[in-house]
Amino acid sequence: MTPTSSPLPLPPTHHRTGAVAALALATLMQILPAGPAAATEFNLPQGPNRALIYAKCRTCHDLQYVVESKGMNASAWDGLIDDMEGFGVDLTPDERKKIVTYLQTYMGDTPPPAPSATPEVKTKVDGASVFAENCTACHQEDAKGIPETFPPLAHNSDLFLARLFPVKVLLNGMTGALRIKGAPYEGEMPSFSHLSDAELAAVVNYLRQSFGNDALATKKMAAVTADDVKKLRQSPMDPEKVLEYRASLE
Amino acid sequence: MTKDQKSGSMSRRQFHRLAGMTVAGAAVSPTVARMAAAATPNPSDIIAGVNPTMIIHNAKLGVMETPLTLLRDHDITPKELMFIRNHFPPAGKQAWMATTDAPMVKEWNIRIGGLAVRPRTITLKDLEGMEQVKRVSVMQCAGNGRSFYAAKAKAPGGQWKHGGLANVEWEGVPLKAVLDKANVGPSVEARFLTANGADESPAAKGADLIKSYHLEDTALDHAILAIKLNGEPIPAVHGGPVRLIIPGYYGNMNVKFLNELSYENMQSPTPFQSKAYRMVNKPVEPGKFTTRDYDLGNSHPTYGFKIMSVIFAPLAEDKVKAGPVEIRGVAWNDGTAPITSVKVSKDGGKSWEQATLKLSDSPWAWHHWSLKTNLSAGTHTLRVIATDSLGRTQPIDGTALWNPKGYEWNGVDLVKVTVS
Ligand code: HEC
Ligand code: HEC
Repeated sequence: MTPTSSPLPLPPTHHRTGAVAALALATLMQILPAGPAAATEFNLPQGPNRALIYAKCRTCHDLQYVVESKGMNASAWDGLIDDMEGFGVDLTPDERKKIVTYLQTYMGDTPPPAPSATPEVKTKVDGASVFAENCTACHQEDAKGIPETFPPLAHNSDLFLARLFPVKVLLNGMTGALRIKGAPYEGEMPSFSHLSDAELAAVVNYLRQSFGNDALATKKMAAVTADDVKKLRQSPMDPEKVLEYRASLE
Repeated sequence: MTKDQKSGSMSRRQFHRLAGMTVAGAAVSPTVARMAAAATPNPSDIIAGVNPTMIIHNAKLGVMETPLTLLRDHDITPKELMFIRNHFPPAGKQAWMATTDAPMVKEWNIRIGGLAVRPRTITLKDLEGMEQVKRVSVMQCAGNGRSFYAAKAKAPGGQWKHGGLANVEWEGVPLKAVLDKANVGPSVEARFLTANGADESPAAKGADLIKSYHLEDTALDHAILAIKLNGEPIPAVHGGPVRLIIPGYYGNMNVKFLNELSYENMQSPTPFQSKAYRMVNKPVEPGKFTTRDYDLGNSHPTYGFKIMSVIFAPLAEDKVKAGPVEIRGVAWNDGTAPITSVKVSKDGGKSWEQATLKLSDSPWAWHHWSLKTNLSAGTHTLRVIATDSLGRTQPIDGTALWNPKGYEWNGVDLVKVTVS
């Protein structure tokens, strides 16, 4: 994903003029997805712990609320996370601190002039932590999901539908009505294309070996590599096309 | 109609990915609209049946406001133009929220209980069998106008302009008649009536949207359990099959998908009652008071609409020719006292002229006003201010009532027009 290229203008004043509409528009445009690969999500400014926003803040609403709140002062962001915790966001004290710092820095009233262009690269990637950090807000820590809302990834043979199927889900997201282990879901699996190739490969391999899934492998499947993910990034799919693709495998 | 609607597939969620582009498209700039058009984002693909120029605030939840250039064309706002603000879909009913068609329900139960001797359930059929009344009333989001507070300090969430506003006709059974008929026998310690709907947070420990009202609140005398909007069954995106309508009260107080009424001795502990949708009792300063500082003592729920007036024409988007023009718009309040005066300024507030006010039959509806006048070539700053018989009026600088969540904006409206 392309980092935003310049600082965002200050929020509009309450004068209703064409110029202000254009300014408000410019504000949003710079956070807009830059290309097809990124077209699945709002492109938040690069910065430490940005992935935590994608991990913890898409369960109830999408990130437009965060994007439109850009420019709030530091205490307002801190207070807002209290609100979200009241609504049901489950954060460890460490996660809370990281999220607040990210929002205060990059979505605050004095954002850094140019966000650092280099995305974080984790040196050591382990699938268990990628799962714990990014997937549990919806699929839950035990991967059992929430009935009617978020499907289980535990004891789920769909992970073996095709070697690269879960990678396609992670890169593009998946939306629409489907049945998982016999139960109907009709939600939105958001895209995780902001995670690195190595992280996405690791989480898929981890899921296939954990939560009782290892026993479900019908045929031997080679582990997913970072290179596989990198190649698939070149051919983005619409989230509903991923669902169609899934149906073709069933 | 879009491709997806024709093929009958679920289109709402397909466009989630385009959330960002949708915003750009809706913000109306020819160049950008074209860029966005390449990806065909369209609010009516998120919710089938809504006008494609609605302004999206949250695609996942289908939250959108109405452009004033369309809102102004109707006295009664048609459902395709009515703003939408939902928190969560009713459990297992995501499909209801993908369309402005009313949900096809035969059975719907509303449990009436709490501190009551004979708790019981009334059904949609019971409601249909009772005498129906109509309420023409303004529906307005508590966050309507939130974006204008940013002139002082940015408030979180959707940056609504004036389009979280509609004037519609509800039809249903008076709340009091339903409570009388149910005859559940509230106990003496009951002090609040609490309303809950079928919507549920998707999160494991998610809070429920519940609202409590003081039993002696006179606004409840006019409240209805609505089953029709503009003469038709209520779309789920507007709270159908049954919505509690308290005319004159901000949107969030009008509980959607109503399935429970209960008598309580205290207000609901949900943060939707105790932390969110509250207005501070005294002015507060940005940085000194944040959303977390709300408590039951320093704030109150967003009850009745503050008196407000908005300019519908001319708008900044309009081409205005020098000479005679009609400046027009609407004014409204909580319906407890008639609006007595609307004044318009063409010079940014230095001098004011009395506009002609046409009061609607319903005290809770919006009231049209207009001023026939002349505008010379150049730039003019139009403003409008309303006053009611209780002397309630609007602050010239609305940011004086700044509050951390950006609710209840009623600052004197300001439109800059260029006349050629
Ligand atoms: C915001 C909530 C959310 C988060 C966070 C999330 N998911 Fe999902 N996931 C869903 C939903 C909802 C579905 C079902 C989509 C549908 O209904 O079309 C799903 C479906 C899936 C599927 C397909 C399951 C099947 O049986 O076909 C996989 C695989 C998956 N998610 C993996 C992950 C992984 C790995 C992560 C973390 C990197 C993750 N999800 C994070 C909501 C989420
Ligand atoms: C458990 C559900 C849930 C999760 C998860 C969640 N939110 Fe929210 N959020 C809400 C609700 C409900 C509202 C609307 C509240 C209202 O209208 O008062 C909201 C509104 C907002 C708003 C607009 C301000 C407002 O109060 O309306 C912002 C900004 C926001 N959320 C940021 C976040 C961030 C950042 C995260 C991740 C740390 C997050 N949310 C996660 C439930 C959630």
